[in-house]
Amino acid sequence: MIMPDAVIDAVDLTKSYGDTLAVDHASFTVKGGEIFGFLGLNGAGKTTTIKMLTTLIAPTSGSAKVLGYDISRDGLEIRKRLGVVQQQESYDRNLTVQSSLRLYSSIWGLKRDEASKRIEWLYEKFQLADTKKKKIRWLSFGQRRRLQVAREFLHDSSLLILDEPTVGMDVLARHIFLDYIKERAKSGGQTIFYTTHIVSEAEYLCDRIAVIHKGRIIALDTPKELKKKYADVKSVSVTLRNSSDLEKVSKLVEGLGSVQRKDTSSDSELRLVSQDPFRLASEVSSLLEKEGYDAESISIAEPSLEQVIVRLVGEQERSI
Amino acid sequence: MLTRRNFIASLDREFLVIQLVLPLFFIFVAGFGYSLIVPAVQDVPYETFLATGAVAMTVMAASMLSGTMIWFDRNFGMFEQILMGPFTRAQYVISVAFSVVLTGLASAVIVFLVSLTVSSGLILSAASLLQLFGALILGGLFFGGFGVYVSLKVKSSEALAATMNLTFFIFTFLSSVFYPSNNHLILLRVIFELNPLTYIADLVRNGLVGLPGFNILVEALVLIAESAVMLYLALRAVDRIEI
Repeated sequence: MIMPDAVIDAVDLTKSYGDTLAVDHASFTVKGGEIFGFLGLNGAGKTTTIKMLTTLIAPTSGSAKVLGYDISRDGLEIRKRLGVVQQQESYDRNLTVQSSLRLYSSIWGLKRDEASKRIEWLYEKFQLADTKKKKIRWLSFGQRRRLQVAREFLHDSSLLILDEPTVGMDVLARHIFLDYIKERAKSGGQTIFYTTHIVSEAEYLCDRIAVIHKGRIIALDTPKELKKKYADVKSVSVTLRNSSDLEKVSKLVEGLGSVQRKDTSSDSELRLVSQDPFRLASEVSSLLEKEGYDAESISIAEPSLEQVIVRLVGEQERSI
Repeated sequence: MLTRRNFIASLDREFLVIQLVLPLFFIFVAGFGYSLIVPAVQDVPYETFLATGAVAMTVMAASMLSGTMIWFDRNFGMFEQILMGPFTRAQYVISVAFSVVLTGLASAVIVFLVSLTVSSGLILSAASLLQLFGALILGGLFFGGFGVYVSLKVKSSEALAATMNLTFFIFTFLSSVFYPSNNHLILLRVIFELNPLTYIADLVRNGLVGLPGFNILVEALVLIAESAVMLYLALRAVDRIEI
């Protein structure tokens, strides 16, 4: 199959439940081979959008093409080419890990030898080798989640839709998984639609990110551009050697005119936002030295994607 | 493929054994007991009359399987996962109904073979077996669709079990499983005539013992129509379900 330029092309996609607009005229495109992040708070409309794209539910209005097929007309053609990891758990409780993967591979039409090879490889990749003879219902939540994700790598889907896939995974599993996803997209050319509320994951993985809030897409760009547009102000991070000084120092820096905003990010760290962070860092350093407070470090912090989300969502909330 | 998946993933061995208990209980306990009061019905010894009805009933008992299959798929996220897979919704519903047909057939054959020990005057020919299996397959499709429909409409496993038990009770006692459908009040006769289990039981019974004045074509057509309507309702329920 020839991959269309836009693997997903959504135009004014809308879903309402009675008076509630779950997704409100969402328009976006996802290009072939890209990892597209879909970020938003809980209940923002991420999963509802996925349900429409996977043809599980019909849109109330608007349209979308997935892999060149219309979601309202060509559901089966789309689903034949999709891999989907749902946010909710999905598993056959009575099966073992091995029989589940075997069954799933036959559902997707894999030949026995090929299926065996892939299953063995997935055991290793997703640390499931020790669990292969165990019934799924006896696995831990994290193990079940790894199985659920691994299952979708049995077949070669053109588009992989991952709805908060790392929920329940431990740090190591999460790390391996994120690297693997990146590798699949970069070397395998697989297109990945990735939703998460863990901003650092999206920042690490995604080529472009759409931010959805209350059903509306409020920003869409590369992580770099989003930060440039919405979090262009760098901050000064001040870490004190003695955490008991934090409150006094916090009051003290209020006198510095260039401080626009301040918050404490840990017991001993103060974050100060300014239009001129370099000047502010120098002023803070002098002030602390003059007042006799001991700073462990004073550094300029890069803006984070988290700041972008907080700012965007905050602005939206204030505008309502 | 989906039917295979249903069997591998959802079939409970305990269920297979337990669902045989009720028809066998009717044959060996109720059948003997009632035969002391009612020696024969329509010139058929009562044990044989009841045994053929119990064979028909077995396919209905198997339909509990379709209800629980859907229920567990919904509870464990596989319902959505399958509907997002390379299948149509119709294929899913038919696979579940087909699972009931196969389970019902296997169970009915066991009940039938066991019932041979108490039945007399059975006709075993190609035509009688065709009627037997035809009725059981159509019955399996009806009750498979029924199980799908109920499991998509109820909100809890308790409601599913209660609804299935109540409807089984109604289906069973307002059908010709235990007694012929004539000689009842007109309202009850109407319900008897609408009840697919009546047609399944009648077709099985006619095939195995022969019933006087029985019109196979009409009975088979009614059962085909009822099964088609039930499958259509099940399909519509799957199409319309809010996920």
